[in-house]
Amino acid sequence: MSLLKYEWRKLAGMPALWAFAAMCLLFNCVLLYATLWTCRDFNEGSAIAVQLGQRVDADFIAGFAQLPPADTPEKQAEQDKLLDFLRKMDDTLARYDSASVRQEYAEFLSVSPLSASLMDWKIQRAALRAEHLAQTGAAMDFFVGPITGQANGVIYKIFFKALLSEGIMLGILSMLFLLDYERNNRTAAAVCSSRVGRKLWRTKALAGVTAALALYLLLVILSFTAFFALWNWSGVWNASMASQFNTGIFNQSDFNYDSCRPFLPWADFTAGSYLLAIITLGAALAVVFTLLTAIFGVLIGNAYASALAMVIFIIASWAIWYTSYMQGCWAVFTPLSFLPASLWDQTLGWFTDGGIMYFIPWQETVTTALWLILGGGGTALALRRFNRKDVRI
Amino acid sequence: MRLFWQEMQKIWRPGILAALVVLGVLFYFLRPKFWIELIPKTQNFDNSLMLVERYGPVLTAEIRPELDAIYEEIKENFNLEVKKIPGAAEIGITDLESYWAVDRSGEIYEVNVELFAKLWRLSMPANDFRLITGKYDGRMDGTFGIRNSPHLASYAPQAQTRIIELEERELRTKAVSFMDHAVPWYTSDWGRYLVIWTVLSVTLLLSPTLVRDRIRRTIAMQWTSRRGRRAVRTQTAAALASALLLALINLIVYFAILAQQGSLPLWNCPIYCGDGGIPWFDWTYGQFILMLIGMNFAFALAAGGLAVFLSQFSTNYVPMLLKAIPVFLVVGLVIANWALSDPFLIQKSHYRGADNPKGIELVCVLLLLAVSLGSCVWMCSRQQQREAP
Repeated sequence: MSLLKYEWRKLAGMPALWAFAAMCLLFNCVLLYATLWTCRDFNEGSAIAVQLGQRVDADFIAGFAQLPPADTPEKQAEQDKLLDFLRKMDDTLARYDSASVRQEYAEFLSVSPLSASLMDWKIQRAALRAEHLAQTGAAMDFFVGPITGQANGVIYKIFFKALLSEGIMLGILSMLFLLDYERNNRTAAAVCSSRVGRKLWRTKALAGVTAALALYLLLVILSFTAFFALWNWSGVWNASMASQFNTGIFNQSDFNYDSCRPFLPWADFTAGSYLLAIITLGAALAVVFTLLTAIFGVLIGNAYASALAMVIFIIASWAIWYTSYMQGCWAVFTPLSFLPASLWDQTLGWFTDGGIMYFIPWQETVTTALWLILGGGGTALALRRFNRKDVRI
Repeated sequence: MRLFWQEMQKIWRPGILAALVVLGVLFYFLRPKFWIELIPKTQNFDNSLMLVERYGPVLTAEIRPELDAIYEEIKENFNLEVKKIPGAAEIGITDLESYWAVDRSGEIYEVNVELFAKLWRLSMPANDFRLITGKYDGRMDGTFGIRNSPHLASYAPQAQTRIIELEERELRTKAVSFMDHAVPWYTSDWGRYLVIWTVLSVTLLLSPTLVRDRIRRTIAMQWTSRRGRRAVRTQTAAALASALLLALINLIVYFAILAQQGSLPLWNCPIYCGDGGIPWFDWTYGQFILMLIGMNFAFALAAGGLAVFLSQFSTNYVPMLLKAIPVFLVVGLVIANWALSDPFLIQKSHYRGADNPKGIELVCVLLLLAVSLGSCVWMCSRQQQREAP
């Protein structure tokens, strides 16, 4: 434990790290400032939900009709249109037609039988989920009304993705700093002369992972503090993520094959529990990238070369995955959708059926767990190799 | 001079170069490739090449009647070819006029999609060519243009003057560029991605320049002599020369790709094409490309200078990377990306809002260069008084 403390202390003594973390925080605040228009509409919707509750029923509609008139004629027209929609609103998930979705994907993925069969199995599971959610009436939740899709797009595609990327960068750089520290300070030869000293690199890997987690969580806490100071979530914590107003979230996606699909989560997520789940998975993904960096760092033994190798690995894997999607090469795309880089790209569809992006239920969780094992195992093997090699100075 | 070449050798490391090649290839396939390949797909691209070769860069009132003759040839060709298409005569399409009459009614599409596609493809040269003459005629009789529309009031006074000046000059000279407005538009994307890549590659190449000496503990040894103290000047000179050299290498590769698209014969065409963006300066396509090339070198120097200046504050590679990442994000992804999106046009299409002041991009680049090179000069001058780290 004392060794771990010393490693953390080395990291904490690097001013550039804290300056970088502060810049990340500043950048997140700029992002929040740039999305103030969406935030304003979100807060208005949230205020309605506080007053009338989440479930759109007769009481909700009666309450909505009695809302004070809007300030401008345009806003009043929007309010009237929404009231009209709410009166006609029905449970869209009860009408979920899995047969047509299955047929559509079967035709679409016909060139790759494995992808087609996996997709078919996933859609059957998703249909069961839709059935269950229809029973709970989740699609009838108001969330924050018509702005829901756009607002969640801002939160999960822009704000959270920026946060996750920053967490990953901090994790990677912390790990590289610790692994290269002894070489930079000319202490590697002395430390590695004993068996106990050689074990220090195991402590470094552990310190790097924990530091990555801590830095990610620090950024999350500070950034979301700023976020909640602007975005009023008081009315939406208990709103179901399967609300039909949330369907438009996929219009924010860069991948347009199936942008108009319902938001079908694998568990009964509310806005609050979904946010918590996303943050948790983000932490796990930051750890995955940090562990992969540990492998490069231990094997290459030079922080700069390791950083370049890691960047090439991330960009190359993402590029092949993206190109296979653009070319419709599904036999390549399917296995590559289990890569950490593709998972990082798809923050918008985590814990949902994921449309064309995911081929099994809970794919993001399975992928993260798989890469945690691979990353951990790979680091252990790299450290074992390091213990048997001569010291390079 | 020997010291300079030694420093150059320290910068141009085979490992980093190999990584830059891999990253450069990935970057090209992920971003600029799509936009660059759109240049030859712009409307009337082949026609404009043919017309420029025959008549020069602009369409004038003297040339205009000759275009009617070319159009007649294209029409004749359609009339001959349409007879060979089975099913066309049955629905009353025997020549271009009858095709347009049926096309306007929308009947063909309902009757036969395949036939419609064939006829549409065949009519494309005539359609495109008609756009050139139609646009010219419209601009000469005042149908097109902003100066007489209520839209003019939405521009700032200086921009309004520029729009009126351009449109009145066009009417006076009766000369219009043969080039489609999308050609400089996509070429600016070529320049934008070239500059972003140059900033990234220069930052990655030069960031370790001063860090290596610190890691290898050579600074204390160097600084014991007066000559050694001045080493940082040579190092900075070598770094800036490397930035320019890498920018040149990137430029040669990207220019070869641009030349392959076949747009260089349009070199003397004015970039003001009426529609699309309105430029602040009376540049030709060639001058526009030269401006983008100049920007490439300016941003390379700016990024290189900042990377070297900041690397002196790093004791090892990780603090250096923590500075290099913001340098790339700010210089490459924010400033260069903004400056080279529709550069030197009155309005930037991706950035809705107020008009773009004249030459603001140049002011930004000059400021950036001043900060970057000023930091390097300051670093070299204070080197004499500093304690060895």
